[in-house]
Amino acid sequence: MQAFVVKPYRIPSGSMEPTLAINQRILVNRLDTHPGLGAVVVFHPPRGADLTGDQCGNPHQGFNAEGAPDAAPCDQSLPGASSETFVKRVVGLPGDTLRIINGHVYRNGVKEADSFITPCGGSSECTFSQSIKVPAGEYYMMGDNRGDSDDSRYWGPVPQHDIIGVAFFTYWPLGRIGTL
Amino acid sequence: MRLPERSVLVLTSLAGGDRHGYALLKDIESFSGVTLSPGTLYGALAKLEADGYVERLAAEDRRNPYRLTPAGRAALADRLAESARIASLGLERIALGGT
Repeated sequence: MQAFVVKPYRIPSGSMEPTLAINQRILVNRLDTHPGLGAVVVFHPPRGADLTGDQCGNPHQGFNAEGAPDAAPCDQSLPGASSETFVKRVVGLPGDTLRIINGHVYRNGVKEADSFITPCGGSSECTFSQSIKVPAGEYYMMGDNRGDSDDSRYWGPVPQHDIIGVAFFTYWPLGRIGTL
Repeated sequence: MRLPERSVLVLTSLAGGDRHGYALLKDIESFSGVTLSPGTLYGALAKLEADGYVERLAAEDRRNPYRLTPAGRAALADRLAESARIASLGLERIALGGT
């Protein structure tokens, strides 16, 4: 039913814990495709998210990079979009400079207000020694569960046209009903 | 707490030798057909490390290999023995029950 402005989605993984649990249901506003910082969004990830090990458009970054895989998170996605839909939070806007330290995002030099996250465990995806710049017209997405999320760190930023909408309400389970 | 399936895959891979993230992922894919995403893999490794089942070794070429600990080996053995018992019971019941 693509005609509806508001569409329900089910959460498939624990990558957005503690904000969203597995099987939680959310409503997404499909008219809002220019999210602000901190918005929870539904989108098609870049094609690299479909490939083994998650492929970054920059060969020196990402999970299977040659040389120094932990130097920088992926700053350039492969062209094309996956048909999968992912739910993550916007942690970087077009043009932002981002640095990731201990799973926290420093945006243009300022640490994000991130009381909503599950802290990163300390493995390789938690800290990167170099900062990156988010390309014009693209958004950087990360799961709130910083140590257990398949996100922009591996497959890069998401072009605006692959954003489906902003999640604004959760209606199931009933105990968690409310706005996001 | 019972070991989740993805942890069994990680421990089984490390039982064959120390490996860093990408090598683990490729090995798991080759013996099980399961492709974990890096996020999922690191999530499993962080939990296993916190439980004392794996340890992170010093970085080689800026990648940290992981090693199975004796506690991890024991936990994997227990879990696989239980799986084998259930597999054997299930196969026996299928054989006895026909279609």
